[in-house]
Amino acid sequence: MATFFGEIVPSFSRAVDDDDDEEESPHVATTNVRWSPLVRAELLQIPDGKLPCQTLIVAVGPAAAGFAQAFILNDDYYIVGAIFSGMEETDVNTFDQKSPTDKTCYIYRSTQIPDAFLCLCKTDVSAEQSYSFTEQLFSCINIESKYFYMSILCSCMTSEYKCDVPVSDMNPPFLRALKTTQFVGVPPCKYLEQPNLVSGLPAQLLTYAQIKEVKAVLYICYTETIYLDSASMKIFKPLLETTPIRDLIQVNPKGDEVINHLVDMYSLKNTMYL
Amino acid sequence: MFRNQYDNDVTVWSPQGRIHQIEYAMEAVKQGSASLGLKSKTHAILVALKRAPSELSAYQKKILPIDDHVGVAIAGLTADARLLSNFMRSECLNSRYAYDQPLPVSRLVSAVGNKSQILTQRYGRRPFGVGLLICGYDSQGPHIYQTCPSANYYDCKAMAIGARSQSARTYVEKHLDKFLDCSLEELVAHGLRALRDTLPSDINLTTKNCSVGVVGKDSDFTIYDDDKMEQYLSLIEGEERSSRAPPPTDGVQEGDQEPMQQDGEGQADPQPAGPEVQQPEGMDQGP
Repeated sequence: MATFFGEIVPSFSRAVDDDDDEEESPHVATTNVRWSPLVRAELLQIPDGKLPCQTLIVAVGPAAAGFAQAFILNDDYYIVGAIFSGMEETDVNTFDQKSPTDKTCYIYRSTQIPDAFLCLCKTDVSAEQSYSFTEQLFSCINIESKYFYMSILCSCMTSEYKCDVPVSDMNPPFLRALKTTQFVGVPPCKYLEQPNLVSGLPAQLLTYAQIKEVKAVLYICYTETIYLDSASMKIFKPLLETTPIRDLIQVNPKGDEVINHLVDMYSLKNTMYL
Repeated sequence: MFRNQYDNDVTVWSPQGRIHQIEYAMEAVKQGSASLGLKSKTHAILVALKRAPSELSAYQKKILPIDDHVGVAIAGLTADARLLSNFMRSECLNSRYAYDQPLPVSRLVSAVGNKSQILTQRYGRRPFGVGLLICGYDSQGPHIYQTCPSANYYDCKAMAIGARSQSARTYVEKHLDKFLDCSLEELVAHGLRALRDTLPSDINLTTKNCSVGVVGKDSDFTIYDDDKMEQYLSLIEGEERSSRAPPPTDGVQEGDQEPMQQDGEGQADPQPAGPEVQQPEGMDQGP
């Protein structure tokens, strides 16, 4: 709405129905974390009630989680916890939560390297819930070790990417990085240029790391397609040779197969756009 | 959530003179899989990548026949494509009924453009979310036209639309001068090679994931699917992939960087060295 002087003012309706007040109880969504019985027993024995951790990899979103599932996760990893941050009615979930398309957020730990944790977050964590998600995640993980490294992987659409050349000239998908001041190391890709921003859960995690003065790096993949495709997952591959991920992985010859399988799983829903 | 206050509606201009809703509609075309159109002196062809079908349902067609002398390949919202192709079919039918001759392709395309334009200028409507590659043969010869949600249409020597179509366009630009004199088989082979460039290098074209449409002077528009694709796929079997194909796995895309350093002495230079503009992996070594 333009005022008399021509400035644009957002116009809010002041009409209020009597019923509105009753429906509008503000629902504060909270996040809950559940740890496995093994871990709960372990926590009881640790003085400060937090698991020692040297490496934490958090993969947010289907592309990052798909990459982590194919190239980082292996049989040595077992589930130690799960984070629940609000299931929508439209979320597809199987009863045993094991289908690749399930919206779950599991925390894995390596049997060989017990202080390495991997969090695959396939749920959509809203911006309002990101703080409580972060709090819950770190409620039982101790990040005060001086060797602690955190890696956050996430993805975003190229339509959100602002640059002075057309985005198609940048050959999506492409990777960009952000890091905390404590992180000394050169990412294998460019830093995210201004005025682009990372928002939501990945930003919350990186901010938390910066405030706690720990080493953390965030990688964001800009992809063109709204559906999962193999290029958007494989674009993270250079990270397999970087700290901290390279200390965790074993070469997985089946990685590409897993990726193709995930693409098939997600692509079956794709008939709206041909 | 809106990115700015001028993109609520297709009837709203931004201060820069842009209509954001139309630009957003163009993004829908990129969500469709790649389609490609090529023409020689004698034929016009369409080559399209199909999405993997569900085991339970029949696959949906990417290339649609419109009339004996015209076919389209679609990229974008399937339902909008269906509507537009029905419209095109009735336009062609009307021409045959009224004038007893096939509708010239340029007139068909401009009818589609005019229909699409109405939706970009009316409150409460939305632009079509589909791009079409129209291939036809009429008294003027073979044609390839591209239409957009913006209601623009382009007469093309060759064109590719859809996801990762840039690789196909690059191939086609490189070989453009060869197409006019190609035989039909050579033309289809070029089309399949260009389409293959849109796929990651570990995935190949098969009879299940691509289809071809061909129209020529004495041949009606015909679509080749499944087993009928075998004759065309064998033309490019065993060939090395072009190095322009998108590298899915090895190497760093943004120039070579040092792997990350361990925690240790000194502050790392916050600005990584390297080319500002993405460079291709290597030049195509084609003849």
